Amino acid sequence: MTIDEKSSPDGRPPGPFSNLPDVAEPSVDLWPAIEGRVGADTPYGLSSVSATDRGGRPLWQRSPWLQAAAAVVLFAAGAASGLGIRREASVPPPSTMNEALALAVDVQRTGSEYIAALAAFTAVVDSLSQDVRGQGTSAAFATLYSAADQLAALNARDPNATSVEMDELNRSERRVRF
Amino acid sequence: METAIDQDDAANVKLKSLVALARAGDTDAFEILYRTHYRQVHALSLRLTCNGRRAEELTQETFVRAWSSLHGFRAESRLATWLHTIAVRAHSERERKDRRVESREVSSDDVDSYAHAARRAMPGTEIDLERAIARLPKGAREVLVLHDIHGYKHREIAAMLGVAEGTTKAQLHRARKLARSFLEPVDEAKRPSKKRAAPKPSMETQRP
Repeated sequence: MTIDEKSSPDGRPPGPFSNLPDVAEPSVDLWPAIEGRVGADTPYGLSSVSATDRGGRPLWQRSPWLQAAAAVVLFAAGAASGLGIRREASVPPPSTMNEALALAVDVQRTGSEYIAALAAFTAVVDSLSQDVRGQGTSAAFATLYSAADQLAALNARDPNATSVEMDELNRSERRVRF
Repeated sequence: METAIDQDDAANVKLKSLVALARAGDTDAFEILYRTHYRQVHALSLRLTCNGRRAEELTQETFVRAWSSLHGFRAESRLATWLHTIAVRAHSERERKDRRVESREVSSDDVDSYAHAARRAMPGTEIDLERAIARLPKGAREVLVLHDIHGYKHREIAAMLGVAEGTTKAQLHRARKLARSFLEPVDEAKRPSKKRAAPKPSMETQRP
């Protein structure tokens, strides 16, 4: 759902109803139930997107090279998310603005490092000869671009995400020309 | 003045940080957002549903949906506005679903039990006004609550409900008129007596 209204409630009109309270206390604490439901949900953040999202059948099933490339990507993703979990576990919940800011920067940095690692990986694959790269490149790029999209959604000005997205744009333009 | 602006900026930065953390899957950050906003959401839920239990379900549902839709929240709008929009839409969906199963009308017992629930949840409230709100038809009640109690403008309410601005204005006019009639004491002397009034000719008598 994308709801984005720039305006906000600004002063109640005069009348008998304007004096009624606009806050209410539930009879029980609802957070434990909410936490149970959101805890079971998939957390947001950086996650790999299946290759089918970019069209065609799953790319990793097509060749052994592709499977090796997918394994490297999965390792990178696992390492990145592992780092994220360790950091989260070692830091107490944010109680002040500074702590919250530091955590936000931490999340941002982890995402940025993930993108940088993937970008380096795809650059290496891209430099290999035509017969070697094959479809493995596509799998790596698919993961990289989906991760970059997610990071750009978090921070549109992230330099790594911007550079990867520009690269994606150039590649798609080249494909169109051919 | 400057200090107030600084405080607003600091609050905005804090909110953005918490939203970013919650988006990344941090339930602790989301709990802070919940603790800051649940009272505002629950007040709306209570008046939309006119039922204590349903209101708690709606408040819960609103925050679960908010968690799943955090990627759609842009920091230009207030989080409370965004949460209220989710609550209004979740309530409408629920009503549509319920209507398929049963036709639910607000009885006087429902109004009484709602008024007590409202008094418990909002100790400073006026019970007569809450009764009048509960007796309003759904559309009129939604607009009155959003406009007169939560202070939203017609443009915002129209966007929340997915209707034209003219519709919300008409609904507000209707809601206020109806609420006034519920609140005015019934003066039996002024009311035209049914016995004295000349009976209208029925269809039967008009037939040749």
